[in-house]
Amino acid sequence: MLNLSNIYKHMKPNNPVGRGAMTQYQQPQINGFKSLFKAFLEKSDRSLSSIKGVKLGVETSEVFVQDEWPIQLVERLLKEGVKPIKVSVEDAASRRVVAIDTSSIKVAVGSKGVVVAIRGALVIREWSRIWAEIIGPFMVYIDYDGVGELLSSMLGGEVRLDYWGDYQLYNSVQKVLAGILEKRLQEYAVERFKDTILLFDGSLSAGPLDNPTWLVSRIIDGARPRGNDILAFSKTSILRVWGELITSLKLDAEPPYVVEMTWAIKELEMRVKVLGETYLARLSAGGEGFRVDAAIRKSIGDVLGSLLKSDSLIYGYPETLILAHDLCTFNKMDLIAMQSILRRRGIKLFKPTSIRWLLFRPIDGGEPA
Amino acid sequence: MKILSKNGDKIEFLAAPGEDGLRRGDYVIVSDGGKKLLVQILDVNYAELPGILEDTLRELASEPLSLKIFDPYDVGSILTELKDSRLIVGKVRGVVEDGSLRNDLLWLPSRLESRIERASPELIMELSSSAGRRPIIIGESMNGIISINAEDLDGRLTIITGKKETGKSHLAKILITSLAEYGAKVIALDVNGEYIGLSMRIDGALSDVADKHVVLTPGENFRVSMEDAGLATITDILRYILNTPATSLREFIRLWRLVKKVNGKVTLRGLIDAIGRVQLHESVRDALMSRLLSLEATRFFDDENPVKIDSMINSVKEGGIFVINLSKISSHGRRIVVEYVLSKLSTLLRDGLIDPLFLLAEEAHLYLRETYWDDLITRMRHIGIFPILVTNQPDTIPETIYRQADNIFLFNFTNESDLNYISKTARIDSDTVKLIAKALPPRHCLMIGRIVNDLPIVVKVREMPLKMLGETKLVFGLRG
Ligand SMILES: Nc1ncnc2c1ncn2[C@@H]1O[C@H](COP(=O)(O)OP(=O)(O)OP(=O)(O)O)[C@@H](O)[C@H]1O
Ligand SMILES: [Mg+2]
Repeated sequence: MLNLSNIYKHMKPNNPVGRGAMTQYQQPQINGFKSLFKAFLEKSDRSLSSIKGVKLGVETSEVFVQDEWPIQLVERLLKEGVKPIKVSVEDAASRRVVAIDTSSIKVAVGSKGVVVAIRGALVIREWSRIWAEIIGPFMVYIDYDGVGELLSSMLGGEVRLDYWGDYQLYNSVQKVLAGILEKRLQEYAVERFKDTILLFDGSLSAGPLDNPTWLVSRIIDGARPRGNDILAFSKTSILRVWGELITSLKLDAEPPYVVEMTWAIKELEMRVKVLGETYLARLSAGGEGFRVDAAIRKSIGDVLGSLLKSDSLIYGYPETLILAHDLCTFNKMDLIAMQSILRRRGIKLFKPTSIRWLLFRPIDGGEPA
Repeated sequence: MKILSKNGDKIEFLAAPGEDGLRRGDYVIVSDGGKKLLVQILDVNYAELPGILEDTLRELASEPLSLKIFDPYDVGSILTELKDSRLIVGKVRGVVEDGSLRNDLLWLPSRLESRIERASPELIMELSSSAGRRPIIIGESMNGIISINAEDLDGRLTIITGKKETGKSHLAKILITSLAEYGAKVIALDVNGEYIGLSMRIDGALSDVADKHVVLTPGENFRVSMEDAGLATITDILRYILNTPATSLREFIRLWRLVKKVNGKVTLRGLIDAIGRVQLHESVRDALMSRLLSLEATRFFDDENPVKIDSMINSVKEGGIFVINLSKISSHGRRIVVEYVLSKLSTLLRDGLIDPLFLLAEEAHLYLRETYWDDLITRMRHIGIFPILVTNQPDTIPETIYRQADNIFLFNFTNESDLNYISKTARIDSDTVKLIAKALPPRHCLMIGRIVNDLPIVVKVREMPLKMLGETKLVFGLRG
């Protein structure tokens, strides 16, 4: 059963949350998360109960897909030429850094729907202190009939989503769900913190379903008045792009620096609306280059300077964001644990010879076995 | 608990932590559709889990990080459990059918449907016990009482072995007092003087075996005559123990006969006098004289008031423990006494003057000559001497003895070479010996062989309220 009473745990009592000025952020956010996801938790719990006795297949391997940096961009960049913006760390102010990431996985698959798990992580660095808040895993059974309602329950139940037809249930729904969770956590962080650098994973492009423009805009708009600056780091390294750029052009700069390229992205990603500005950032000499989308009040040089002063870099990528990623990413053990929870809830799991076969031969038919 | 794999007689289970509570040596029953597989646990490990490395690394990396977790489905506690899953390795001992054990390595119980549960101690007792009617309670096993039958020691070769201070002598005491109570006679060769207190209880009162307990101390209440020892035994003593050269031995035999003819009776004094008087090569005279004087020095020989071992043995009716206290004499003296005792017992048994008996020998290599080992398990066993050998150095007992052993009580060993040596015994596979013996706590032993109907059982040896006098002597008194 869904257990809301033991939801909050302090796993490591060492490095205790301190006193004083920061207290407002140090209270366990149990009630925050509980109420934030109340509608969704109720829905998802009901969805799992609805498949009691149903047989679902479990996948043996999960493929993780990663977005590629479009290759045409390189050609464009080479033609237009670039000018690096120097990032200065010395004069930069130290600031709080909060990194957010989410991930998802298919836990079990039936012919009519899938059980998906999602998990999010916030990593908060305040000067020398660092702590993490892990949200989830949440598990939910999604089929064509319930998907719209479920997704909107994740968004607080206030919006109806009608685009579902564009999406393939089995292939995209988990990512869509993780995307929406991510947006919710971003929105939550924007409201919870002040004068903070918020690090997001991915981009600030608004797309159809998991990145609704209104939501992305709302997050960005919410950030500004509270003094928050948003930097979205794309996890995909664009080493190859950089490699080409650096060998082809004379960039008169040593890292850390960024290259403005909002114009290029806008032209390339016609499908989506790009909010904020886009840069290529190379933040450490040994590190790789990353795409960074920024929605900021100050100059990009200032904000990145503060980031470098406040957070560490690992191969040119912010450590807090790596931690957030590690803490939310599912592995085989998580999968086994979640499958055992499904079993305890009366759902029968088996290993079909192939998931494809399962999809095209509806053996469960949603009926009790 | 679930079956993970089965390959021949090897079977693996996966168990949630806390679910098992199983220890090496315990028995479980795997039942499926009325059929029951008897499995002994050899090993309990962490299970190799997919992604465990990744997961543990993740935890390690976030160690300095304080975590707050909102986990509505409580996946975390299942993960903790999963990570502590156990892989249990077992050995199939057979299929239980109509109260007996049948060998069937081919039957595969269902992975999903099988019920796996602890075997009851009653079942194990039933499967492991023989037709005997004289139970000896050894101790506890799997929350039940485990006994063996005295009949399974009778006529058999038994070995008790294990590291120092694991409880071997204690068990030996349980065995011999029980045997004596059932009317058997036991000769105990006691190098440490630890069997001399058997007639007293810890509380100072007399024990149940007090009237059956006789302590024979060579040089004191145990002295024998030359005639009683006889020419053959004395020659053996001179040859094997005192390394007398062959020519001198020949002269000694001549001398013995001469003394017998002249004096009508052979005495040690008579022999020594004769050596002084008769015509002998100087070197032979010296050789024999020095050796006879050292025989005399043992004070084991007394031609005036000798003890006769057969009348001693026969004087105790209804079972007896004859402790030959070897703790106070030199190592030569020890060997001489044992040589005498063994050859005398053989003669007496052969002539039907005494009944078959058990021979308890601790650290026999200290006093048993090499050539006696084979004798012990062939000729002597045949005429009615049934050895119980106790040692903490297994390689001091020849390999052939292990192969012929009917019963082994195996206490803890950690040393790989000791375990290898023991695992040569024919009665048990080496996996069982190595995995179980290594994990045995003190005072626990693995019983192997006829005593358990070849169903190896780990037992926690019971206490015994007898005064033990077996404790290692210490300079500073009580330790710990
Ligand atoms: N089952 C038992 N219950 C109570 N006490 C025991 C038990 N087994 C052994 N002991 C005690 O533990 C100590 C060591 O036991 P014991 O002398 O039998 O060991 P051992 O294996 O013969 O040692 P060593 O190799 O030195 O001869 C003794 O004090 C003995 O009384
Ligand atoms: Mg001992």
